Amino acid sequence: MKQFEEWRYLLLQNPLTLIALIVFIGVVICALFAPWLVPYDPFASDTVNALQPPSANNWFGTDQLGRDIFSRVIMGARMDLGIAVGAVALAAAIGTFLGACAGFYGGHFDQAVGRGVDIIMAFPLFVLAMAIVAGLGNNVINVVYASAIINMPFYVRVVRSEILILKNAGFVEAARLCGNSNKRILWFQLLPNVSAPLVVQMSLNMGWSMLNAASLSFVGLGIRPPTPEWGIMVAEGAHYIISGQWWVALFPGLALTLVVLCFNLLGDGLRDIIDPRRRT
Amino acid sequence: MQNSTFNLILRRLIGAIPSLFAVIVVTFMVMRLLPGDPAAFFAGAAASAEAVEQVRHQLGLNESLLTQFWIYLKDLAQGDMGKSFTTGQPVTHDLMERLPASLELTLLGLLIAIVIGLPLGMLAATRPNSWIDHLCRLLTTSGVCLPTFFTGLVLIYIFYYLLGWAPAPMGRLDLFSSPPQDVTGFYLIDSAITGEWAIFRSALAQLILPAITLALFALAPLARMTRAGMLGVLNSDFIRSAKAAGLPRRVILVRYALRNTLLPVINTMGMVLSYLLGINVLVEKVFAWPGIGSYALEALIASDYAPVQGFVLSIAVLYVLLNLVVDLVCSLIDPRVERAA
Amino acid sequence: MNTNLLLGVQNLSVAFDTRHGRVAVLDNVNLHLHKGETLAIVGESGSGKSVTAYAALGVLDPAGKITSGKVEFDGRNLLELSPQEMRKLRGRDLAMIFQSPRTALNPIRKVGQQIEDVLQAHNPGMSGKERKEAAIEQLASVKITDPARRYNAYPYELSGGMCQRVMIAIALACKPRLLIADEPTTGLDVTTQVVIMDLVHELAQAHGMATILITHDLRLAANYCSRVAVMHAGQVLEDAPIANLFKGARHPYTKRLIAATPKPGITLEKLASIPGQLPDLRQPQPPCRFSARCDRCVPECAAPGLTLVPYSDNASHLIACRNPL
Repeated sequence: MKQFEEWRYLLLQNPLTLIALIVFIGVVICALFAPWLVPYDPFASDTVNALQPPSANNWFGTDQLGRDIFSRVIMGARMDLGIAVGAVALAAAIGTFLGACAGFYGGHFDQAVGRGVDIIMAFPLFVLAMAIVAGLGNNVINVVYASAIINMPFYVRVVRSEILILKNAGFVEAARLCGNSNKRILWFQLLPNVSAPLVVQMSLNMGWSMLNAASLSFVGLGIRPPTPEWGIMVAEGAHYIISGQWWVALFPGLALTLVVLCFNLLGDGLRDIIDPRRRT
Repeated sequence: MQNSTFNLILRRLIGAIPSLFAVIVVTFMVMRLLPGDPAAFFAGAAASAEAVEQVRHQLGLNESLLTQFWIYLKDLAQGDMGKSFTTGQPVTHDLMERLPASLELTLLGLLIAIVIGLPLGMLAATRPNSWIDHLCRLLTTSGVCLPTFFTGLVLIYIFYYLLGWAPAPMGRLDLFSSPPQDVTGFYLIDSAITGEWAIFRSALAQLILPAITLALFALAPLARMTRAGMLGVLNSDFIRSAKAAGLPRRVILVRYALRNTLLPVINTMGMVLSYLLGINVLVEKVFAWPGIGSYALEALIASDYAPVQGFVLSIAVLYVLLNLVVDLVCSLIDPRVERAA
Repeated sequence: MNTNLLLGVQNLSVAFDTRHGRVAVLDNVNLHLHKGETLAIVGESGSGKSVTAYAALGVLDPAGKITSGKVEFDGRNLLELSPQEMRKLRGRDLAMIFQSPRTALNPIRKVGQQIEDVLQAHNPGMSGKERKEAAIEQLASVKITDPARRYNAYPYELSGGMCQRVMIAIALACKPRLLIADEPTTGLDVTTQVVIMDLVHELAQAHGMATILITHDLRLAANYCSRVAVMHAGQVLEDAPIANLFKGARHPYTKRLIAATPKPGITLEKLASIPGQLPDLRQPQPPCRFSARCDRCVPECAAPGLTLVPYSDNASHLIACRNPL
């Protein structure tokens, strides 16, 4: 209860974080319940009413096949959010494991992990993701893997450096003197202490992962049409921008921007709350 | 001094070799080891079974992996990256032809980002909570959230469709201009050298929107780092002693604060370059820019894998080299980097 | 008015705006310094010694505001000068050296050039060649061996003591009339401390320069200064010639401070400590900010209007206490 009071206080102190949190909850609801929320079938084409500007019937207008853009934007939340959540979760899990072991045991394993991270970072990350999707095969699950791989180095680095600092702390020595094994110390003493910077890193990473997922589908990798997804929708709308039909690209683009902005604000807010020293 | 600088450059060059090698290995592995038949990849989607076999033999795909890698290295050393089936040209030729377009765009974008981002970050740091500080914070927060492809489209809509200030987003020159004489491959520089100012203006007009799109993205991390770095430096002891010694404000800001701020900024430049080179692909697609990014995308969609491999490799090499330049600039500014051999 | 007076700080109050509200860091500080005199400001960390110096020099952090008072230097109120006039005065007439000399120098600029920067700021007419010669001469005057070579050194290549010499060279480059040394020996090893203090003392004597030494070390003050001002929580509590202070300190805080100073033959266990901590200045303070820690506190101490007044008839021994020893 006290914890709750404190969070409430901190959120009220940071109104921007609070707004971001509300938007985030809204997006999650959209993603989970999209099929019941949309006014039209997002796949139903209606060529008679193609490329209609926003109106009372179609709030965001219709696209080149006459599909309702509002419904497609709502449905689109699930794809990008799903990919980002999957990629970040995968990257955080593997990255934490590798980083924790590297920092705790050191030696050859540490060097090998470090070398691996360096190799990933030797590529421009988006290009590496493109290459991985191209090599593994052009489908959604490979986009998740590719995003996870390019996200992983950040987790390895954060966790490894935290573990390096923590493993010399007094409480670790105390735990060892109580007869705890190395494994127990690592998983039950050290890792819980890493969770705060990890959560901050994850929320900061979410926005970036969504941008990557949408960018990949924008260039034709991963999700394919006619799936409602923001990157594809912007790509489709791109053809109509130069003839002035702005709404086809604008609304999915805005939705993506808004969600990414909200993730970044949440990440910054969380960081300020958890670790005020790193504020920039 | 001269000699030690040369030594430094040499040592950094040698130090970059492992990353270059790693990049080659990874590119090789991504393309050859992953599921799917590489022979079918390289032969192209429409190839017959015979053609696939022929390609398999040609590429040495029936050999052991190490032999294959050796062949790959040998081909690379001769500048052979295979053939593109969509253009029918050697990949190396295609890439070399398109690389200047990509580089010109990326470098101009970076230049705009630096020219705007650094002063903005500095001013924001020297005037906390002023309107310029708020502007800086707004730009850095929103800059990283804007999907680059979307920003590009918005700019096209506003400046081409609504205002008519920018030309149609169709490549490097308008329809009525022909490329300048090829010297560097950078249209701006080539046309300036030959004095063809009409071409210069056309090339600049085509460049400006995509370059701004890139710059908007790169601006955010740059301005953010500059602001944070400058704030840190302005609070440091040596700035106070410089003030106590009665140095003029301009001297303190430029000679004392700026150079010390630049160090961390240049150190993060690698990350900015990583973003820029990746984002470049998106911007090239949006603006139909005939660079290596859009070339790779076309090949990717046609399942023409040799160009994709060549593209990934050349971008990665480019990134390693640009990082090397960043590293060198940094060590030239900072005397604390050891110079001796 | 005493024409011999060089610096007079009158009722100087400084407050810092923090996220916890306004903190009154200095409360009506009064100090005076004659030409060629050496004054020590002594007090615990956080007693406002450095802030007083920063405020006088106009190099306070932006969060700090001077809420009242006057700083007269050579008959001019420094607080009324324009930033431009003040800048010209700093480094030329008033100079300062700092603690931790390594961080007080620009890490990526040659030390010789840093001396030149000061010369250039105050002597625009000097040619580059003259400046360089003057800078090398300056390095030699602080007894740096091989000054022509050391001109090209960066701070990271020099020891802490060397860096402090360079700081002194920068501070004295324009022959100021007042040097403020803010804990100049903190962070140096003991033998270097003596060397640096001797150097400051010697140069000050040679130029007839007034010096303010800010320190928490009473012995250092006794060795190098003729007069001591004792500060506590932003207030000057006692101001007396060094001999008077050691023989007959009148303020309870000074007495405890003297008792807390290590001397040969006194073990650490016997060394007295001052009970309590510096008061939390975020809270409203009684007129005497020492009263909460004081064993001689009497009801009158709560009356407002505590000022620094001569003790009995001795005009040179000032004290701010209702119940002096």
